[in-house]
This record gives sequence, structure tokens and C-alpha cells, in this order.
Amino acid sequence: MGERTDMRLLVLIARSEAAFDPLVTGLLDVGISGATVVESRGLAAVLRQDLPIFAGLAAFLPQTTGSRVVISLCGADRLEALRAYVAELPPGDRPLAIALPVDSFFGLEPTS
Amino acid sequence: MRSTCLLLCASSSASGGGMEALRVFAAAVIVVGFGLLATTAVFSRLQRNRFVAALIAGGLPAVATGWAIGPGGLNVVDDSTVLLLRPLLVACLGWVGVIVGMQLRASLLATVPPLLWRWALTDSVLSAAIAGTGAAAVLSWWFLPGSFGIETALVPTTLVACAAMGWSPETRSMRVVLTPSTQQMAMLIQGASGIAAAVAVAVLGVAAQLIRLQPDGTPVLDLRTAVVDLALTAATAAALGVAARHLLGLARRKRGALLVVFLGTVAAAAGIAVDLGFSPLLLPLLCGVMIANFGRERLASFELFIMRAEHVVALLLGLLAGVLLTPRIGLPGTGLVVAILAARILVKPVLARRTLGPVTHGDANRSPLRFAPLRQSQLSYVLAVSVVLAYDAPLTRTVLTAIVFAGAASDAVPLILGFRRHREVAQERRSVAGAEA
Repeated sequence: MGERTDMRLLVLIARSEAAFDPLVTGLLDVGISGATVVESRGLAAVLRQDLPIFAGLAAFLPQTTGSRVVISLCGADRLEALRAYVAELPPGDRPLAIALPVDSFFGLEPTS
Repeated sequence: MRSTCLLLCASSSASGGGMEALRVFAAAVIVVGFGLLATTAVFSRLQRNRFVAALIAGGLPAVATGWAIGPGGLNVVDDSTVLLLRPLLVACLGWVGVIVGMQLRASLLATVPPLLWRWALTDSVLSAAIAGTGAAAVLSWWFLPGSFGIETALVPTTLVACAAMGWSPETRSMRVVLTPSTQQMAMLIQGASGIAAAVAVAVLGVAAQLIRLQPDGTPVLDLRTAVVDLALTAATAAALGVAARHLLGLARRKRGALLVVFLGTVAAAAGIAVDLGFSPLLLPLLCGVMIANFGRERLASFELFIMRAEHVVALLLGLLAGVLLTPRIGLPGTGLVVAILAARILVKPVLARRTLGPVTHGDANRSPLRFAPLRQSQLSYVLAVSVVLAYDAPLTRTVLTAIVFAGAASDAVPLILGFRRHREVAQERRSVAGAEA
């Protein structure tokens, strides 16, 4: 277990398969090589599945739209480089990003 | 069935002056307000309640509001206002057609189990046969004595038959116990409902194409023209679908561009259909099929994007159904309600038991979901609205009203069963908690 005030919990949501690809490249470019990727879907998709009105057959559609959540623990120094990379992406490919300060962590070695 | 055509005679309501302008403004505010309401988090939150979910899926709040603001109530919206809102209404009908059509993607259909095809198609045939026969009998005895003929009765009879096909795909209100087995049952119910919806739109669209209105409003059966018209419908839909698919590929994930392409496609498909005297649902349905099947890449974001608007479109068309309602349907109209309900009661539970019984287990076998197919789909209101807009006459308005009344009645039984099961489950849980304590 380590006590590092300069670590950040990074949560990135890529809205589609096409947006996920450059995000992975960007993470590697800024030196973040460890992350957990979770396939996800938006709340709107969940609500829609509950209450279809006309298109019931859509229940058989794959429920993901290619969106993914990336969770990573990284050093605060990587954030600025990642922010600069994301800013250069086309608006449609930019992930939703959240960085939170980390009081403590255990169970893994950080990527920086 | 002498009729005027609300969709085609778009002129001549500019006479009213200030009062008319105020009325149109009020109608637009109500329509836009309703549309916005359906996009809010409050609306989504309300639907988490099972009772509200069932009510909204049935469409009755929107219909009741429509009736309250229509000629039967406050008279804020009347036929002339409906004419002025014509482009919006046509686009809404087209939207429904495209949504239903986009379900029919070959790769998706290949994953549908054979039992679901059998269920949906058997249900469509049997329900249509019972409701259609009942409707034909009612029409020949009461509505059209002496003038009953295929050209006068085909569209209203087919409308009643199509309204009886399928069921509401909403399952939230019926899933009292959330387990994998009830999830599987809900999925099967939704899937079969989707297939039946496509069948209903296609059958009514073809039937409407067989009838042509003469300049004096008299309907005639014209098979030769109908064949040409159907070919033209398919060709137009194919061209629009290919063009839309190409443009959607260019728009990719840009929401604004997607919206523009989709609205353009929907408005063009439904608008062309109406201007040519075709069904405003069939051409968009075929266009949706083309969009879904042309090209390899699945338009997942786009599918989600257009389906989000499902509730908005349903609310607006429910509102319109309420405005066009004529509640005094008398004995003949009641006969039509009975014909639809008879089809639902005689066919749906039996077929649901035969289909779902062997493949579902555990909680699902006690779930009120088994009775979900009793509930009429909101699509039936949409079908009825499209017919009233194309062939406006007292007869078609009575059929629309009968369909709405049948929908309200069909919602009641599964709702009651759902809440009874909900109470039972709550009681079982209390007993288990008591025993553990």
C-alpha cells in the first residue's frame, strides 16, 4: 500500500468504438500503459430498453453502442499531456474525462 | 365512405384572423411543450413507476390530453389547426415508419428464434382474421348498409384487423420479479411485438395503396395502378434509403448532422408518400429497411439516437389521436371495440401460453408478463391516425375512436393482474422476513 498525493484516478468514457481507438493511442503516448476497460452503455439505452413503444425487436440488438469506460491510476504529471492530446481530437471523438485525487491505493503498482 | 383528405387538402385555413392565429400558437405551444416534456428527466423518472409506465406505454394520457384540447373539449385545436401542423404530423408518421423498418436488419432477423417468427405471424393472421371479420360484419350491417363494397370497406376493415395484431412491447410494468427468466420472457414478448408491428404497417400500407380516391372523394379499387404504385413506393424508398445511408456515413457521430439527415429522410419519405397518395407509413418503413441493410457497418449510435425520440413521437401522435376522437360511437362503434377485444382475448393468451410455456421457467411462469400480449400497442393509434388523415370521414374517425377504446380496455386486465402479483410478492417477502426474524 502506498500513500501518494500526486496520484490521480482517471475515468474516461469513450462514446464509441471509433472514439476508443485514438484514446488508447493517446494514453500510451502520454505514458499510461495500465488501465481497466469496461464495455458500457448509456442510461438512455437502459431506459429505452425498459419502455419501447414501437420497436420491440430492438430488444435483440446488442445492447452496447461501442462505448467504453477506461479507469486508470496515473501520476498527476501525465494529466496535462493527456488533456493536450484530447484537445486535438475531433470533437466527436473526445472522451468524457474525470480526474480525481487519490488519498491512497493498494493492490497494484502505479503506471508512473 | 365519402371522404376528404386532411393530408392533401392543405390549403384554405388561412381565413381565421387573430383568433385563428392565437389558436395555432396555443396548439404549437401545447405540441412543443408535450414534446419537450417527453425529453425531461422528470418524465423518465415518472416512468420508473410501474403504473405510470403502463399508462404511458398505453398512450392514454396523451390521447386524453388531445381530447381535452380538441373539439370535444376546450377546442384549442381543431381540424384547421391539424391542417396547419401537417408537415410535423407527416414527419412523425414517417419517423414511426422508419423506426419500425430499421428493426428489420437481416443480421438481427437472423438471430430471432424460429418460435418467435411462428408466434408473431400466427398471432397476426389469427387476430386479423377475427377482428377483420367482426369489423366487416359491423360495417356491412350498420355503417354502410346498401353501399358495402370492397372499395368502401377495405381500408377501415384492414385498419381494425391491423390494430388487433401484435401487442404493446412495454414490459416494465408487468415484470414484478426481476430475474433472468422474466428478463428472457420480456425479451421474447418485445421481439414478437416488433415483428407484428412491421407486419401491421406493411399490411395496412398495401391495403391503402389498393384504394384510390376520385376527385369527388369516392374510393375506388384499382389493382393495376396499385401494383405500379407499390413498385414506385419500393423504388423511392430504396433510393431514399441508399442516399440516407450514404449521408449518415458522412455525418458519422455528429449529432447535429445526424438529426438533419434523419429529419430530411423522414420528411422526404413521408412527404413524398403523402403527395403521391400513398401510405405515410409504408414508404418510410421500406426506407428504414434500406437504411438498416445497406452497408456493412451497424449504425449503433444512430439507432439509439432515433429511438430516444420514440416517446416524443408517440406522445405527439397520441395527442393527435385524442384531437380526432369522436367519443359518441354508439352501438356500431361498440361492435368494432368488441371485434378487437375478441381477437385479443381469444388469440393472445392461448398463443402466449403455447409459445412461452415450453421455453420459460421459474418465476416467469407465475409472472403477469404472460398476459402482456393482451395489451394493444400504441402503434394501432398511429395506424388509425394515418388512415384518418388520409381518408377523413365520420366512419374512419369512429374506427379510430373504437381502436382507442379497445386499447384502454385491453390495458386494464394485465394491469390488474400485475398489481395483484405485486401484492402477492410483497406478501411473500414479508412472510419470509417474518420467518427469518
